[in-house]
Amino acid sequence: MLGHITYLSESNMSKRFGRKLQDPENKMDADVNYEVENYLQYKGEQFAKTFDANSYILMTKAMDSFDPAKDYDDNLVTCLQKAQAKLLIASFDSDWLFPKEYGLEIQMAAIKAGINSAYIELEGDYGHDSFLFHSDRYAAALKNFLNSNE
Amino acid sequence: MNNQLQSIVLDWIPDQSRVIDFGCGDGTLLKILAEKKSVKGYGVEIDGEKINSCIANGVSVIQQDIDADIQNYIGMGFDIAIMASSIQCLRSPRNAMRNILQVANECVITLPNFGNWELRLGLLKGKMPSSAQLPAKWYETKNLHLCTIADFEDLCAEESFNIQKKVYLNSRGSSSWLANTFPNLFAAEAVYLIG
Repeated sequence: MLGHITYLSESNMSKRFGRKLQDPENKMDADVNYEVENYLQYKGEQFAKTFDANSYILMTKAMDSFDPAKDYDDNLVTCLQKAQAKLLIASFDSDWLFPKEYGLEIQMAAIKAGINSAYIELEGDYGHDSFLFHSDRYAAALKNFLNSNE
Repeated sequence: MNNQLQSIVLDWIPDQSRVIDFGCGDGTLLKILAEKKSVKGYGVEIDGEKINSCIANGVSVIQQDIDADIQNYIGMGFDIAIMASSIQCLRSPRNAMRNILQVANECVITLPNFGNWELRLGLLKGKMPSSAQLPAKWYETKNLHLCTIADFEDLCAEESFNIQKKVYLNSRGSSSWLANTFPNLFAAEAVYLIG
């Protein structure tokens, strides 16, 4: 569930749950005190029912070992020089799973590599999951990017 | 950017160069430079709406604050940097100038001249003046460090920034005799190639 939290944002969690106490009738478990505990307990059980726990371990390892620069002497610039597509890198300010510094790192490497790339910072209340939610600037950026000819 | 100013900038930017435009706005200049001079251009802009216009223009752009982040572009292999009507919006223009000349060997700077007679007249009337180059009201302007042509050239002399070329434009955007003879009084805008 620690992993699950990283997909959300601190501000959204505190807005949604704060220190609200769980009403006793809907407690998932006897030792639950707070709503946030109850929510995580509930989510955890849902995940456990839907997925094999081993698949999570494997996915985590796959994510940890993903390194695009690995085959290019750990050089992201050399790696990106091969890119033929143009890039749009969008970072959400509340994302702590893939913070904006990571997006900037890719953008700076793209500039060094001389490939077409745009980097934008967006506001989002939902942490890493913000990309799942509509915002006008996000939608406009995507639309403009897909329609641009360059 | 008016046509005259644009053609000067276009003239000074070498073909196929790597260009960075600090305060690139909607990316129009970079788009034209890519089309007419085959440059590889990148823009730096802080305003989210303008960033979206850059993306629509197919311009490579990065959303960052020039004051805080300009030094990140040192050693990125840029041939020439542009700062068009942006320097007066910065918190630390002198610092930005020092850095920009490390980002690229040469830079093109354009700035509105606060010494222009129309603005002086406006001030004489006791109000913050406005003009085509400085249209915003005092409470809405993004300009923090307005200067006159004389002020800017003093700074260049103090800091040993070498002005290679300069053009003065009047309020109609033309390079007139009057604007070039008495720039601090009659020019509305100045363009410099510094290196």
